[in-house]
Amino acid sequence: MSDGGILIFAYDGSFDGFLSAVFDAFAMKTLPADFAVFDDMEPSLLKIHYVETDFEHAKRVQLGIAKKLGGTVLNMVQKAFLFDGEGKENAIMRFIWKGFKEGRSVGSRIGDEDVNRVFKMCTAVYNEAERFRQFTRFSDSKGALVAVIHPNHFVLPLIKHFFCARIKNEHFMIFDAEHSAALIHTPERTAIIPVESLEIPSDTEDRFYSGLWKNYYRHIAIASRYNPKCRMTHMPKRFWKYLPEVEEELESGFMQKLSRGTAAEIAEELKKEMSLPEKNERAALEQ
Amino acid sequence: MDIYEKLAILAEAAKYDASCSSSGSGRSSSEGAIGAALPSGCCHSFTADGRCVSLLKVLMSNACVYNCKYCISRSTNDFPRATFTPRELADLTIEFYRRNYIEGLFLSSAVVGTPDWTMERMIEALRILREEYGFAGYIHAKAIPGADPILTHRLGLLADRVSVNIELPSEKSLVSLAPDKTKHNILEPMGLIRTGIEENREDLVKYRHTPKFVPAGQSTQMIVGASPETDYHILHLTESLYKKYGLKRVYYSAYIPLQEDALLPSLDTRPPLLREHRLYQADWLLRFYGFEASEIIDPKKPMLHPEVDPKCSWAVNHLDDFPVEVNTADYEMLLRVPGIGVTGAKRIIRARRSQSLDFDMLKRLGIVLKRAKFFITCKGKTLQRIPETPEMMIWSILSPNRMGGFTDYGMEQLSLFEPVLTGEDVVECLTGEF
Repeated sequence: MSDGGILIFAYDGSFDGFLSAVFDAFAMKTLPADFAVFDDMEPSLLKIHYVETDFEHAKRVQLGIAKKLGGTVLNMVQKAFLFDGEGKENAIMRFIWKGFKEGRSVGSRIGDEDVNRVFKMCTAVYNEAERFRQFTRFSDSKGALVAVIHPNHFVLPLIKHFFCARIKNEHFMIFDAEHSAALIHTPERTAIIPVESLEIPSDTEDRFYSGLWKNYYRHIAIASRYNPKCRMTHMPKRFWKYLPEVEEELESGFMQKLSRGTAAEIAEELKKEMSLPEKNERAALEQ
Repeated sequence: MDIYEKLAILAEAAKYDASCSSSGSGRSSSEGAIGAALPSGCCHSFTADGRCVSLLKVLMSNACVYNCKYCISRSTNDFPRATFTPRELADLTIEFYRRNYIEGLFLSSAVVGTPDWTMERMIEALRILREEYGFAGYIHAKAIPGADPILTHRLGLLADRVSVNIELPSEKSLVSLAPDKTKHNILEPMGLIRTGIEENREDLVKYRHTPKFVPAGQSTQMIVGASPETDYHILHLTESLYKKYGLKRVYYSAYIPLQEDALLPSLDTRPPLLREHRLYQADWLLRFYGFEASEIIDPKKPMLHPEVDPKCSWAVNHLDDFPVEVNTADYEMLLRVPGIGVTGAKRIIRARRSQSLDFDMLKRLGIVLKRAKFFITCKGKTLQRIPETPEMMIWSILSPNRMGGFTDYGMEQLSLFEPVLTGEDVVECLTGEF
């Protein structure tokens, strides 16, 4: 096969598909120049090798990595595959290639360029998974808990254990709208399944406790320590849409209003803002 | 009074407690019907002041019989009072927990009636959570000074962490500002918990089904800036609490004036946030970086440097120990390099196992060289000229835009102990105290 020309590997986008591609690459003794996923391939003049997903091959590659390169490397490969971005397959392919060429030390050589690329992908996935453990919020809809998230990477497999452990006796679902998949859990069964779209029942049913939570959040801020920059570092704006406690601030553009002004003005403004929506919320609660 | 109003009052009254951590326990979900506690903890939100919200932090009640001068819930204060019923509190915790708002509960209380009565109600709330709901999430409870040791023990069996707040870092301040509390009162439960933890550790080895006692350890809090103690005093006290009482954490809380009193700083005093920040940095050095309090602070200069963090300050005064070679230095020494933290040091150790590192690799590992570059070599090479005196070093560190170009201009005005303000962050939180 390696008779010149740029070679592209096309596969089905699954992890097993990718491992099958790795198998093919070693069988063909050729590193592909790039990867494409069947569904979003564009017509191209380049030479394409269509990878057939073969579970047997995938298993052999996985075992090979675990045995020859160790658990750390396999773990990095698995985690990096959850990364969602250009050149993901290529980076992992090169990493594995290098591993089989140079031995198990690739797992620790994180200063090396090829290894570092995969290491950074893992870190990105890991960090984002942590954010979604922190900032995923459920609302109760007739006894079932529902949450929608929009992560950059496919974090559901990494947050699965966290949620299944803590609310194991509940029925819950986390819908990843970016990757059209959902983690669905019942006390008997847990699964991550493809879900194209989802009608989410509106939040109104769960107003009582989200209202109490907002109320709590408002009352624990200390005006004289107001520090929006610090909050933003720990709780970046892109997560705010999940958090009932900052809903009003997000809507009113309160943050922008506050970015100028002296400390005293800010404290005053904050006090006002903290007491304002209370009335509306209470009205909603009493209905 | 409905739950909405109660929550507002009792959250408001609890917010000055700095502790928020939910780490160090690791209860597995098989221990109960709902909840699990991760050893690493988890922050679910951040307040407008940037503090982490990990637990539902409330008081059981704020109807206090004590009259501590610094406290907003003091008995002579005309203030709305509220008390949760144990069941209300347990239900609220479970409902918040299911929605992933919190990791668990942080329960404290004002002293209602007697310390014993207060503790009994707290214990009842925790009992409902643990026994009726099978809650295996994180619980941090305050031991009430002066309560019966049996109650303190019972509390310890239900909670993951128990804390007793020292509040004022010396007996003298305690006498003048918190007349109803005594040093003995505070240290007694602390000692009880320490003994309990030690005994429990032995029992856990011997018997499989020993119930856990305070598995996440105990912590305490000190108010900084209400009384005249120096950083030197506070850090040494902190160190002895870690060593003698086996505490897991000491929290510092910048004093926020809420009460008018001749003995306290005036109401327009701004909370000493920078000082608090520096104390936390020093505290981290004690807990994770292998420093001793005596290395960090000197009785002759009993306050931490406001401009330079304590680790940097130590390094600048120990230039003889630098530069260190990143390829050979041990973990403890790497941790002492300004700009290299626990994550960075671990990455270096991992990466250099199979290849020697250069500066490009360090950058790839995410090591910020802004300050570290003045203290390290890679394969014997420095990234740039290393300043020779502490003064020049400080100058180089504080003005990163003038990297390496430390000219004679302006050098005389700069010395370690007469700080020049740089960076608007520092200016923002400076309190005028320094």
